[in-house]
Amino acid sequence: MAVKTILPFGPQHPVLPEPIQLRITLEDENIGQVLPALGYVHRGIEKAGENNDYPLNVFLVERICGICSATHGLAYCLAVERLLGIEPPPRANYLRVVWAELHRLHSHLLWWGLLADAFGFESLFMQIWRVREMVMDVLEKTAGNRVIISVNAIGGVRRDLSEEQISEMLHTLEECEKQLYALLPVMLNDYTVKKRTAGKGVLTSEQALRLGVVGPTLRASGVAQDLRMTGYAAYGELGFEPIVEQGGDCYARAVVRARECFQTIELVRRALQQLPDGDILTKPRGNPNGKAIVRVEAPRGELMYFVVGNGTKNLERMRVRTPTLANVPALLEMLPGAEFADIPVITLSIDPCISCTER
Amino acid sequence: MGEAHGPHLELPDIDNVQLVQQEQLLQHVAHFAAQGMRFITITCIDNGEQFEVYYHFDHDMKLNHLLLVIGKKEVLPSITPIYFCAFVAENEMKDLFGVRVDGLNVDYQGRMLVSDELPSPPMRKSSDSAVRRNGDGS
Amino acid sequence: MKLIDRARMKSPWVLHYNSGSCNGCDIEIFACMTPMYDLERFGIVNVGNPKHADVLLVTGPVTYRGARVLRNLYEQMPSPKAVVAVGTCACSGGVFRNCYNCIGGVDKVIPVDVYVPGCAAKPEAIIEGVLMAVERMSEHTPLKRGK
Repeated sequence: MAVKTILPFGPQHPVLPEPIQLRITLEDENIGQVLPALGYVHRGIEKAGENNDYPLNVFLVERICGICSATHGLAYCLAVERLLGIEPPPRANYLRVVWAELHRLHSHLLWWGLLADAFGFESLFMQIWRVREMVMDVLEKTAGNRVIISVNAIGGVRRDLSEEQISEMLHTLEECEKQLYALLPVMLNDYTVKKRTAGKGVLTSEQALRLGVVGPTLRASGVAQDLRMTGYAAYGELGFEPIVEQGGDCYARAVVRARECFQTIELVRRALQQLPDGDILTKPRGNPNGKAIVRVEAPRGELMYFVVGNGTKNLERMRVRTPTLANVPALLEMLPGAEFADIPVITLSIDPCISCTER
Repeated sequence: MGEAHGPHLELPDIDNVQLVQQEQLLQHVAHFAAQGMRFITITCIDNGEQFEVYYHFDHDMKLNHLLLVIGKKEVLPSITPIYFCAFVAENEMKDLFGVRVDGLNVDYQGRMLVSDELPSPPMRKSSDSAVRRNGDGS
Repeated sequence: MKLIDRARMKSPWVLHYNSGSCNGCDIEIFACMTPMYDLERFGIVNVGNPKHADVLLVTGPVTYRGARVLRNLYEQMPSPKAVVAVGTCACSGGVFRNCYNCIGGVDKVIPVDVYVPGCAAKPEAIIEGVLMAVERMSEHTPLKRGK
């Protein structure tokens, strides 16, 4: 007879770098119902965004999530620029793409490392993070900080790239690509990786759309939706094509992220080659008024900013819908029926970012 | 972002907003669900007297919105019977604004994000909270 | 006693808790464990069990719900123990100091031995911080300040 146990998973758990609690009802080794308990990282950033001056909010929203901070800054700046009716110079648009894509690269490599760590493949974890350090070095050299690079400003970017920096960046990316290619057979074909991820946490495309899933998790279920296709910043001029896999399981999600690493490198390369000359900042004037919604593709999926201005230097409302918030309901459908030992892998497969989720 | 250069005379606003009545909300949402739209989120704006509740949906990367204006004491029907995933957004709205939502499938009783130390819904505006702190980068 | 002290200095085990941080510092703590920075060359091991740990690394401005977990973890750790506040938020609350759900600064909840500033704190700084915490533990300084 099956024994029912209710097990709390988290908030402090070795495989979870972040505090989230999953209350799991177990029937022997099989998962029954799952309920998330949130609120360990809720700080109240949406409220703080109403109290700050609107240019200072850039620094606040970048700290919603350290891993995708460049994308948060970009989305907020695009929204406020629309309210102010200003357009950033073309060079700034390309530079925004460069840094946003570098951030995506480091985020995907980070996720791959954590995934390898979650199923005990320590050497793959170390190898991937070694490659990731090259990206971090590039970020530090060009933006002055490793994680929170703070390059976006309202009306453009705060830093420019010199010719030497561009050639060095291209060189490092080439080296990075080479080393990733060497790791690719292990990442995609290794017995351990396949055994732990293939067929786990399957989500069909209908399920994914019904549950509101976004980002690589959605694309791994065969739905070609990527906000970069809408061509914000300079993406429209870079010939972007979304990466789609049909499997819908943890392995497909891993493949999507692995392929996106290479795509990202290619996008940065194209952006640097086509980089136009000129200014990098249009001075913002006046105060934001009206309503604007901006959606961009963060490493984890669709990120939405809904900004309401009221003609003063403070915003009336700043609503942030982060990708993980949309992916958590899918967990509640993927986990039931799985085995207890697969919880870390399935949970990680949506690339959870709890500080995004709770803000 | 194909916005024209030059001065903007009109206030930027969001397109594709459909103002709905409270009774018709579930009908509209069910209609959206039948078209295979992806639910994005719910935004609640407290304009002082009333709540403006925006429901955001995505259809082939195009946004569709439903707007509902309700009084602060009114009860909002939950859309979770149609979109299961809306429970996160609805609970969040309940937590932060104290909007009363009826028929939630997973109800955290207004304690999903905020903890017991905070007495009132933190984002709800009352008449005396109109005094803002001066933004000093905090 | 001397022998145990020396053993502890050679291999301090760290426990990491995120009490409301933006993840920036957390991934830098992870980066410390990887080949580039390699905390393990000092014998430092990241553990998941508070009863195994000597040093507690805390990131983030403390949220109300996180504070309960943090206090609980701190009390479970055996003495002598040291606490390192990693990142500006953990030191003072940082950009979140006026947010309604933040207490602001780890030292408002548990005693802190070493403050590592930076947003996000760099891996080099985190390593330095952990080593300073270990030194403090071996100096027999009273670790429980205040109460």
